[in-house]
Amino acid sequence: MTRHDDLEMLQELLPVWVRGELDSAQTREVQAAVDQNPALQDEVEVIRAIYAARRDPPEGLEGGVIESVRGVPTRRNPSWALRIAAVVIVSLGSVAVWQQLRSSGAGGYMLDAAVSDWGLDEGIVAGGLVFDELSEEDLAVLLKELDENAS
Amino acid sequence: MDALVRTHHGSVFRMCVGILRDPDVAADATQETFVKAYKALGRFRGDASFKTWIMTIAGNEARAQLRKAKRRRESPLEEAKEVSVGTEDVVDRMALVDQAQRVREVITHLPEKQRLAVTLRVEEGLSFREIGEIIDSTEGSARVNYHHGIRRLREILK
Repeated sequence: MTRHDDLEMLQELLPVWVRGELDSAQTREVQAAVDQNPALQDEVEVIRAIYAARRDPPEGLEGGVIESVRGVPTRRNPSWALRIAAVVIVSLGSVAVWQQLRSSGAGGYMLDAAVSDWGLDEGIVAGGLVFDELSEEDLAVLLKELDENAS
Repeated sequence: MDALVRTHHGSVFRMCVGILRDPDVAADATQETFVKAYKALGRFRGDASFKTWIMTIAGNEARAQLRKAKRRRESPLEEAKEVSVGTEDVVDRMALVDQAQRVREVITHLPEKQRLAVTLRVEEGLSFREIGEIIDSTEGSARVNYHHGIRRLREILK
């Protein structure tokens, strides 16, 4: 590293030195260099003047900014909102359909039939295959029995 | 977010003053900077420090306000002063004001990148890499701008 590089590096450290943010070894090194170099002393004076002249924010700015930020409406993730809405709609829809079936009796009939009188396959074939396979005479006998039972 | 505002509003304000050169306009820009940062918080990736990130937003916001002011031709910020006022004029005009005001006034007349490189280094203690990110240039360019700015201030303030 050349002397010019060394000087440039020291110059770049001056603001940090003025702010008191160097470690003790670097502080001593910069202090020694400044003591021996009038050009660095001039530069330190300028840096001190700049640092001393730094502006404080106007009174009330901090509070104003906090108020503004609190006034910003929060946005939820729309994909999550849509998913939640979809689940709620499907759940409510299922409950409504189930209640509708129960109140109209259709569900109750289907449930009762499935559980008590018929096996599942009997329910399916009773009106189709069984009646189709009956002869005209057997069908007549069956209808007569049904009429008698009904009366 | 309140804690972030408390920690950084002074730096953001000074950054905005550094570009806008008007404390009132800079206060508005500071407010807008934090609102935009809050809305964009989800996009903060953490590969820069929060300070560098919000100072970059502040720089963009201040420049946007500067462009708006120019379009409206209100010209409260007098960008032209930078080139039209010579060193001696500045020193003469500042003879009667106190040292801090004098220094601020002199800094105001540096070109923007020199002004920001000097103030971000001296007032905020940022590294040249961070300064480069904020003023949209390389680390080397930030370093050169800093040295030129300091040299010029030494000449003027001597």
